Amino acid sequence: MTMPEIPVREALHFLGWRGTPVEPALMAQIEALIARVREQVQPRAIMRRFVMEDDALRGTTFAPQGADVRAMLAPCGEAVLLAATLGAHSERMLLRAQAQDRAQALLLDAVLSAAIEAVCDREEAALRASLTAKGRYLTDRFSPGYGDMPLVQSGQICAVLGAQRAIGLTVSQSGIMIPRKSVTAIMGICDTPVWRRPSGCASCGMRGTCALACGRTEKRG
Amino acid sequence: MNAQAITLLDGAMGTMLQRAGLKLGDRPETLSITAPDVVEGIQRQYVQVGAQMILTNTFCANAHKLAGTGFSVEDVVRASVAAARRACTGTQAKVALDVGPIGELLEPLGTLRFEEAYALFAQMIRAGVEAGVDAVFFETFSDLQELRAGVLAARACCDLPVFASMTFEASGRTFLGVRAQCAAMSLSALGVEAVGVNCSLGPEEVAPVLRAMREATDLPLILKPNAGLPDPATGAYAMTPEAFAQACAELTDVGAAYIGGCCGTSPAFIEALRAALADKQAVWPEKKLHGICSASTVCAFGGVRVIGERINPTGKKRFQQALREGDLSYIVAQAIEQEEAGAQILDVNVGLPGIDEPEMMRRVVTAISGAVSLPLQIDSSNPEAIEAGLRAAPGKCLINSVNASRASLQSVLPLARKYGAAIVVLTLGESGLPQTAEERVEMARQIVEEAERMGIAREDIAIDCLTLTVSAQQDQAMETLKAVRAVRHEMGLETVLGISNISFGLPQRQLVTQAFLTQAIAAGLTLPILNPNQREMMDAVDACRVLSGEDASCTAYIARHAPARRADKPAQSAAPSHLTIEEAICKGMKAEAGALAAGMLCTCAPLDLVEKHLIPALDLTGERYERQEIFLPQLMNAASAAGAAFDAVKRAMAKDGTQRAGKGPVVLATVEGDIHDIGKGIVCTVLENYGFRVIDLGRDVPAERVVQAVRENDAKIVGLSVLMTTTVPGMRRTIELLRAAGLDTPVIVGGAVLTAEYAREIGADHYAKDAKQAADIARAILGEA
Repeated sequence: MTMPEIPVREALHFLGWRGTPVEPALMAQIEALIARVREQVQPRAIMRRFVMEDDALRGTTFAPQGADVRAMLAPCGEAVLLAATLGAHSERMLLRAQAQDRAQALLLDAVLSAAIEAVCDREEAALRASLTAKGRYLTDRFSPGYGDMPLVQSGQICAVLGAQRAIGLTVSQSGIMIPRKSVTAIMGICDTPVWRRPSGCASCGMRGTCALACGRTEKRG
Repeated sequence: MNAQAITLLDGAMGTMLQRAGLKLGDRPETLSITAPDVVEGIQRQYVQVGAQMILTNTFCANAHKLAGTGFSVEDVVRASVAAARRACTGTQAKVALDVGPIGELLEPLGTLRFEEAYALFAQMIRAGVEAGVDAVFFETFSDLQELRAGVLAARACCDLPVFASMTFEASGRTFLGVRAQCAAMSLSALGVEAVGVNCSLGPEEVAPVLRAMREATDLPLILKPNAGLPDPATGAYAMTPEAFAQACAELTDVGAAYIGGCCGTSPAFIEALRAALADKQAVWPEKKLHGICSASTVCAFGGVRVIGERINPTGKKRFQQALREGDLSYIVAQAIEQEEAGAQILDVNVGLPGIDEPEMMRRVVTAISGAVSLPLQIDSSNPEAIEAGLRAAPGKCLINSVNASRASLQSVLPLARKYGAAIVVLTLGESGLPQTAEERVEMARQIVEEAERMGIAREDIAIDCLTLTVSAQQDQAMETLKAVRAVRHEMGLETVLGISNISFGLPQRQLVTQAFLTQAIAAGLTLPILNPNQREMMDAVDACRVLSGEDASCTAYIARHAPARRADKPAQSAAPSHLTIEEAICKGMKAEAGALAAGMLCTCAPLDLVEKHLIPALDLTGERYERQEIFLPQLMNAASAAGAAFDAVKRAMAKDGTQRAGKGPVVLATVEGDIHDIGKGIVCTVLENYGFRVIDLGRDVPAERVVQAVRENDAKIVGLSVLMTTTVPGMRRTIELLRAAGLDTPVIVGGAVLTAEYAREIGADHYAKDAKQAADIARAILGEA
């Protein structure tokens, strides 16, 4: 799997940018890191489709928890689980940067965050396109930690997908996904058009404490 | 050529259990207790079609994975072994305890400690031995270090044969970047029965991985591939049993001697294998590579291989300080610098009076292995520290060193044997260093004999004939070279010399050092220990490799030294005359800020520069950040630029003997269980700029270590960071432990999920929303600003 384009704007967003002028030297630093990440980091993702049955995914032990995600999935007959990671090399890049140059580490961290988002966006878009062609609809991508969906469900999604064996994604005893730059999510598949939550903050569990300047780049289409 | 009869293994267990109705996400191992007939039935099918060794249903039967199932490791292992035994009734088939990865990443990328992994494996293996298994079979590992923990635990718990198999991608690497040759070399060194590949891919895609392993081991190989590649849409495997068996049979001439199947295979596949392998035996040639390795890089012995010497506190104040404060970032940066300069092996020495050397060795080796891909040379005179290093290093190391004294031989050789490490032998005996080359060579012979008797391979022995200071004992330089020549050309062994020592006490040392290096390489030196950051040394090595023919067609030399490529260090950059130091800092211009500071220090006292220019510039940047005129990277770049100016100040102060007393100190840590340290790094930089002495304990720091650091350094402030809701309890525990220890040091906390209210609830004194605020609070605590 190749690394998709990583939008500079998205990296800036993760750095808390609010539209103030950015000197060319800093921009060049970020662009150089984007190029390095695209050259060196190999993303991996796994997606699997399940039939919804009594608020759970048939053939698995997984039942999404939390009113928000259940509301999203209510009209859906099927659900898709997604796990994606930038892999161990992204961790090593961060370790090196953190030892050598903390300013660089900060930028790299943001570029990698933008990169894993781009990977998930691409997977989601491909799925959406194939469903659209068949006259079906896909909900938003909902991750544990959004709204009231508990973070521990990340580990459950990994277990159902066999994510360690399939893409090298693990969950630590304290519930952290490692490699850090990883995402788990669930999406619903419907026969009728679905309500899609407003982008970003409103439905995000981090609202209130989040330091990011939200109003994230709209990626609807 | 080696040859061995083939042992037929079983096929997939998970695939079969899913067909029998296992839900995804469930723990298949518990079925050995809840549905033993199903498990036994699957295994019996494998035995009936000819499997000669079957694996127990215990892949993830470790205490972490079984937590919450209501079953103990011992219960699950006992029931699984019993099921497998019943399945083998009436046959000669053997039962191997199946052991898979624990499911969490080990340090340094993850948070699971090596010794904890070791204990989890040991528990499983003891249970398996108790239940009467015939062998221990590790499979599907992608982390070499985790697998090393398992193999070492197995070797310690039993005398049964140990099999070690990893899973690779088509690139020939595992998810963690482990190369096939490194896996083969490291695991062979630990004394396993066979190494190999399972899962991953189909047999055709696995072939190159197996061939790569073959280069680095003389052991028989394990081959347990999937039934081809899965269909991305359905997850189904498409290969037929016959095609699978045919592709596997072709790998018997690479030495595949233990053959079975993984995901997607069934009894039909094993039956087809039996037919295809009926008149085959495994045959294989001797390995091509010998040397040492990390998890991702083999350093093959033969040519000149540079050992970097910089990770060593001797005579280095800054390094000593880093060791005392546990500042691993500084040490890791030294490792990266040497790797970038062209070192191929890193010497690691952390011996310093007053520090716990084994523990420090463990931590330093672990930290380095996360950031640098080079193999390591564990350098200590303390056998416990050597062992700690050998355990922590994911690969096959060199030990520096053993000498001819009884004590040394008896303590170090068994370690080399146990961990399969290569050794550096000093030609130094009870009565000191022999004066003539002949005596040193004779001593080398004796030690080599002793080492070989202990079971250490001759190819794993390197001899250090010892460099003496030429200004003190001039005749010894030639004796050393003579001894090197004899060891290399008569005994055929690798040779080591610490180069730098030759020129001690002389002016223009690098001239003498470089000449000695080239003469020593000409005499047969293969493993020079030197400072790779000294360009003259690496240039000499490059040139010698050309002259010896090692650098075929001069390719590497041309790549490094062609005029267009040779990046000579730029002259001290002169800052444009119109730029003020305040502007340079605010704009994050690092080189310019350093140059301007150096210039101003000619006329301005160091402390004046700090108080009148640097601090005001930092304050201004901080205010602009608060007003949201600039954002975080700009604040960080300004801090880095100020850092360059402070470096100039420190140099000036060192020259005139004054000191800028560090305020604090502040102890900083990302708490146990959490590995997010970007934010903490920013706080560290900003505090340092404001003149604080910061003791950065790193990430995933146990509460006990925070308490210890606060106590030992009489810290005035503690800063704790956390990113996830799931790791906040680690922060609460750290604060509780500080208070329980009677320390009332003010605690500042920060991190994405925290709020001021939550901070109060867990007992913190202050909450900082960002690095700027943390610095403001720290200054206020000390009664400034």
